[in-house]
Amino acid sequence: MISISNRDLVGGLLLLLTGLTVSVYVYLNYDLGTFRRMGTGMFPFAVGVLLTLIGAILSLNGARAYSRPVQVALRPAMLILGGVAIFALTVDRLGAIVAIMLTVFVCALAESKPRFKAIAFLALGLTAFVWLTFVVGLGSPIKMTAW
Amino acid sequence: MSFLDLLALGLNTALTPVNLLYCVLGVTLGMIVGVIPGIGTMAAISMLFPITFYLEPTTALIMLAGMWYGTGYGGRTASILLNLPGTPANAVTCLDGYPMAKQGRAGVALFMTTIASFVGGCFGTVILMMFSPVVTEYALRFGPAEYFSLMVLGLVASCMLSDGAALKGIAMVVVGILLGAIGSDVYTGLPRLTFGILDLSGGLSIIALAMGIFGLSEIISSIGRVNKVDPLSTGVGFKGMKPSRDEVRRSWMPVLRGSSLGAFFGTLPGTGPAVASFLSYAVEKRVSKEPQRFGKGAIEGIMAPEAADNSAEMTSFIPTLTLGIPGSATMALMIGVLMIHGITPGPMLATTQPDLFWGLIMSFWIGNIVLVILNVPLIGVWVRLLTIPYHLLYPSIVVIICVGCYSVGFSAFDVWILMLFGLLGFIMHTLGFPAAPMLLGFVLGPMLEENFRRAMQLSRGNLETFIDRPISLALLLVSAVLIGLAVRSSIKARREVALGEKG
Repeated sequence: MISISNRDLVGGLLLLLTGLTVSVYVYLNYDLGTFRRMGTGMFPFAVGVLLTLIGAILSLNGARAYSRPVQVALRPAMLILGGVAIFALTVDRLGAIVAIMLTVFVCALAESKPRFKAIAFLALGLTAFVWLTFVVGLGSPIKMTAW
Repeated sequence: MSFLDLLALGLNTALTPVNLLYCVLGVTLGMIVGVIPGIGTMAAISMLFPITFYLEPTTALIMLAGMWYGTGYGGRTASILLNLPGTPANAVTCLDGYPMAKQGRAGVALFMTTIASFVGGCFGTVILMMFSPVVTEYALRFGPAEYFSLMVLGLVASCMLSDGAALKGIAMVVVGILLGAIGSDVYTGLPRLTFGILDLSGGLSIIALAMGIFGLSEIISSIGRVNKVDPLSTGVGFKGMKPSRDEVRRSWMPVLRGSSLGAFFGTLPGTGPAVASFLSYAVEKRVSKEPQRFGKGAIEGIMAPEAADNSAEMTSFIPTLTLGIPGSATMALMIGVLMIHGITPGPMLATTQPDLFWGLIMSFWIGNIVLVILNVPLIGVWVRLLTIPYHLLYPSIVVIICVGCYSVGFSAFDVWILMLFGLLGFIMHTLGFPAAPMLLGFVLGPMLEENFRRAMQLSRGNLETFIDRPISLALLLVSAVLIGLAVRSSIKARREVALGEKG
């Protein structure tokens, strides 16, 4: 659990930084062109500037006022996103079956009291379901096994 | 083609076996997913989205649309039986629906709201049928400058009523536009903002974005909060469904009022079923001669919002189909589907693809009827769905999302993008930024840019073209006013909080 004391300020600053980065990057790397003949970079540049501006306003608002701190639970996020990452890593190399099993396992850990027998059944059931729906039902050429 | 010919064409298209099948499939899936609390409309649609890829565009749209208004029907079940809304638009139904269930009148509530939704849906579809041609005709006179300004207004308006400060919503729209700019430049086709990554030259996958920002982040925030619940299933059987005469008498004005409100708010970009249902509850309470009955099982309190919800769902399609401007995140996904299939939505859609346009509209009739059939006799089955424990559900959803996202391009890269957007969605949720405007910005961004550049070309580099043309000027003025209000209210809110704390 981490605590963010002023989320508007944090949010505003992130936006300001993003906008600034985008504008500078586009300015340096792409042709802006003129109004008459706009280049690739003109639109993203303008939008980046706009974002910087909005970020500035939000940061100012956030800095001036007091808002209650926000508690952030990191564990569910890390595990769910970790599960997705595992899928991305393994689906091509090890096939869908393994990928699904691993993903289910990692995601299930996000629950405070994981029940392993239920998870094992779920993993098997899901694999079968995916196979039925995507491969058999929709004719999608997903590789179930890759060895 | 005369209006009746178009309707006939639409009916023909909607009644082909394939379209019929996928319509029924769509509404059923939508209803099932809608019933389950913990999966909102956007998460549900993101999950079911990839299935539509394997289909023809008309069929895909029919199915997606069916899923969408199907979730409205289903969400109501959770509201009444669990006091937990299945979708945001059904939240109001909890207020009087759950008390009714506690009084043993769950069957009546479920049955009556099905009727309300059906009437609302039909009403909305009629409005859709009548007004679409009118709007289309008007819109054909729009040039790129007007389009640009209209899109700006649509985007700004959609931020006004999203939860959280409007300014944050506008910020999200802007971020979405930037994300949409990644890929190939609209005119030259050269890669832009791709950082040399080949996989990005087609732009970011909208599936990955939608599923990550809505689906994954919703799951992350639901864990630990949603658990197995016990639905109140007393009084849910055929006999239990018969309403009293008094209740019938009290119902039909609220249904009419709700349908009209829903039809109006559905059409406006930025407002949709949720707003319509909240407002119609407020209106009923205000109009009623016995406002104290509300909150304790007043039938008006569930009939009006449900009618409004479904009516709005139908009329939300008006700006999307006729102008190509999505009024909500779901509509943005619909537009995304069309674009992936190579169809550009806009006023030309009605004339270039009349079978798609009218086939879709006529399929709404079929979908609504199917939903009534599903809901009335089979309600016991759906109730059982509510007992699925969440800890089994959410890994399933994650897997389905991953597989779905992967199957679009058979690229693990898309799944990485999915993960990144899940992370982004989580951050946004933590910091209090609304997600729907970002999707809107992402979908509309390229069109925004294209129209802007085209308008500039036509005016030979003269920025004033946006203000010279009267329609464009009017649209931009309204947008400016809305933005001004957003900035002002956010500054004012800060000041009040600060003063309140000190004083």
